[in-house]
Amino acid sequence: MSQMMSQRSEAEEAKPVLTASVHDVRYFVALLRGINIANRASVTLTREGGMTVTVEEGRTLLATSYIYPDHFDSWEYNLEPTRVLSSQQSSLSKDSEPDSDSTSFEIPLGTLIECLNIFGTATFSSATAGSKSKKWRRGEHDDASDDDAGGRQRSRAPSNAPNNSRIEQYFGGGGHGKRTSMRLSYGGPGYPLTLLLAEDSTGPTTTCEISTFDPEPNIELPFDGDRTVLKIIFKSSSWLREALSELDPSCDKITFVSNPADEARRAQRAAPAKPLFRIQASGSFGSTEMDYPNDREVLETFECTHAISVSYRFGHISKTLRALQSSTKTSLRIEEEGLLSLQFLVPVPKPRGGMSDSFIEFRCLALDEGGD
Amino acid sequence: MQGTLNGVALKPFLRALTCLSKYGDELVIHADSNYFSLSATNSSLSAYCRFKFSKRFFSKYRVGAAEGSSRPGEPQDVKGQLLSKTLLSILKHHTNEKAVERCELSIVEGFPQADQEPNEDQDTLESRLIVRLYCKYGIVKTHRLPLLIPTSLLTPGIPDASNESRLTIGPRAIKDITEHFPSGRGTKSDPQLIWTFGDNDVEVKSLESSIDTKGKAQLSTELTISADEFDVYDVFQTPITIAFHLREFNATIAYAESMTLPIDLRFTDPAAPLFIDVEGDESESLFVVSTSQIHVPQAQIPSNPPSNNHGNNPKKRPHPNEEEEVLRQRSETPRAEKLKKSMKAVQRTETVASGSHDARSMPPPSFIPHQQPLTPQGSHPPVSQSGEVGRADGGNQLFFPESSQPAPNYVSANEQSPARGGTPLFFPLSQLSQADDEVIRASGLGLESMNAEELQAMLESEGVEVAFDFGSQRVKVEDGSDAAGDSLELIDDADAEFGPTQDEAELL
Repeated sequence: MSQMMSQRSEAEEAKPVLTASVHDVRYFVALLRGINIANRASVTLTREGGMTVTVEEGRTLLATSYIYPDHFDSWEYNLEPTRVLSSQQSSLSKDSEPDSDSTSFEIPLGTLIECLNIFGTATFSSATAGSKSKKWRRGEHDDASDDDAGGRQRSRAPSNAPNNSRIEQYFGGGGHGKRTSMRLSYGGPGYPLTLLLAEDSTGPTTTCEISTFDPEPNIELPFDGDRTVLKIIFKSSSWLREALSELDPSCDKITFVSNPADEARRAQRAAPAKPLFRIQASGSFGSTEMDYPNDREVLETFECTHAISVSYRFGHISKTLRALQSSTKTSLRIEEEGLLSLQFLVPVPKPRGGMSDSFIEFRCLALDEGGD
Repeated sequence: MQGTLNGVALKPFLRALTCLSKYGDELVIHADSNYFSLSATNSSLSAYCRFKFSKRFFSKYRVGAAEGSSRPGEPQDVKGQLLSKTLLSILKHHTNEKAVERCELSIVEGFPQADQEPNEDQDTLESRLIVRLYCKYGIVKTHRLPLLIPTSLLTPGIPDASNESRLTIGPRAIKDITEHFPSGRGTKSDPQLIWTFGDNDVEVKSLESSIDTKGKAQLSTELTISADEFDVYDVFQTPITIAFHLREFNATIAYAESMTLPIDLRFTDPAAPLFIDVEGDESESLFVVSTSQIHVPQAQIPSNPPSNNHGNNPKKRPHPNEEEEVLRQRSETPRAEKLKKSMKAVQRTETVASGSHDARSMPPPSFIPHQQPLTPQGSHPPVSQSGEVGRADGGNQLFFPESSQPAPNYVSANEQSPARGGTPLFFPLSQLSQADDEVIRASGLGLESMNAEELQAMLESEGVEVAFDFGSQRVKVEDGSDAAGDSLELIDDADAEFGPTQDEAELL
């Protein structure tokens, strides 16, 4: 301890850009896992916004996870004093940039998730109950494999998990089973991301150093809120999750069809032609259409300015399934150009009680149907 | 066809589908005015499974075109075939009966004879199964699955009731028996059980066949259970021994257990298939599992075959065929091997015949006209008498494909002969000119290897034409080939050869 103090005092510039800690990494991991669609993720750290992790796929799909500072038990972000000191002139130019206080780097996301799960207690599915009910846990697994009711299984896990953890919070977290706690630090460009992981204070600790890379620009898919054509909020993420998991994986594309509420109503009397909101897909084993009514229990919000029908590659949309699993509500927006924005609300308990709403966002470009 | 299932009925329907999918990949749907039936047959055609849902199982059920546009004389039944997994994967997400209010199944038939009456209302030529799920809050999910027209309806015959044994057992009790014989996780291992039904108890043991022993540690399990375990124990002739594979049987047990329905077993003879009935309130299911003749165990169990069984033995020979015809099946292990061996004799046609099991059930009609009358018989459960006739025919028919397979060989030989025969046509020419002869020798590839008889046959078949052109020369060639004996190369010996052949021609 004294050593650390002396280190800190002797070299203020060695103070890492970020130090953060969390007593239970499961939510952190869930937010990362939801966007684990490609290995290389770019991480942006900001003072207010916390940690933003972005992954892109095929220059079409952009997945972003927002991890706010209040998810962490402690969050200390210091814009490198070294850089500010050593390069005053560059800091001037930096000031002109909008995100002057941001730092970004790239990291292999899969590796990061694996490291976090080194004790095997970083995910909801495998670490729900810990030692208290190992038998039960195994039973659950057997269930999943036997019944092959993957969808149901998944639906159960996330809905239970936040409740459990909320209760557990009152009992002091560590009382039930084992959790992986993490202390994270990042020294600045060129430094690795250092994770210090432990299950409890008496057990073994693991230190992982994950190399970081200079950031490369991601595609930018700015969503223009003013040009939104369709805005839907699913009251439960399970609606969309069920829909996507029910579609045959052989489907090539998925189409969202929507009509303004009043038009759709009119159409219902005359002919069943104009659905309010329809998801349709066709694959080698047939075609599927799913119609959703304007029911508050299903679609909490439904705003559609004019009729649209936009298609996306199903392979891309189905990548959202993992994020859907850990989310409670889903917002679906489609812009004039067909750009899709899917936001998945992921409630994360704050260390000092209460819930903080984090979210994972997917943006996807529409298929160009001109040649279709 | 239109049928509506409510949320409660969906569950047994799903269980039935799960069971069907374990019997076979292809699900055959047959709907008539009273029953909606689903059937599946495994790839080796040794197990068959059929679920018949009565009209009352559905909350609404109707067969026939919705608009009433169908011609009145048309038979009111609908058939279709699809992959069972497709349907299962759609429905299995809706296990929660509260989430689904009702499920509408409808079959829209395509019009294969659309060229006769072009019907543009129907946007597709193929038949489709439309599964429409009405879920909570008014969510409607519509799945359209293309349906194939089943190549043939495989239907088992009705077993001869005169020497039938009947057993009834609860699903739990039979599971207690079979779970002692673990079927391996690997799909390949499928244990076979030998059941010996005695006066007071039933002996079950695992079969150690040569196939099972391949590189695998042996585990032989044998257990004896009291006949009291069976609710009905009516064995025609004790003791009787039957053997069958467990995989499909287990699927049946799993279904019966999930429905808590008793299992009725019926069998006649060690070689005839085992019939299993599981009857529910509004559904009945029939499972047919072919049994295999156990050669080895009979030697192993000396106490087993009494004199009566010997009386049955002569019957056993035709029985496998009979059974195979009944299911139109190539059944497992010993007989399959036997058949395969005999098939090897005719390899060229075998690839055609064994292309797929569906195909296999199809070719015979094209080979033999005799079988065609049987097809309608087989497709609807025949009266036992006519069934007997059919099966008797079947016994012979089984060998038709084999005996008819040499025929294709002849055909192919004939097909080849024009090519080969084409060259002999020029032979007379070759005798006219030495140069031509050389050319033909260089180009007439197969000629050297052709023996005299073949050549003669060819020449005779082509003879008439040749005779018109080259009259006497033809004879010469024939004789020449005779003289040449095994090889035509002698003909190429040019100068020396001309003499004798011409001499002989003069003699003729």
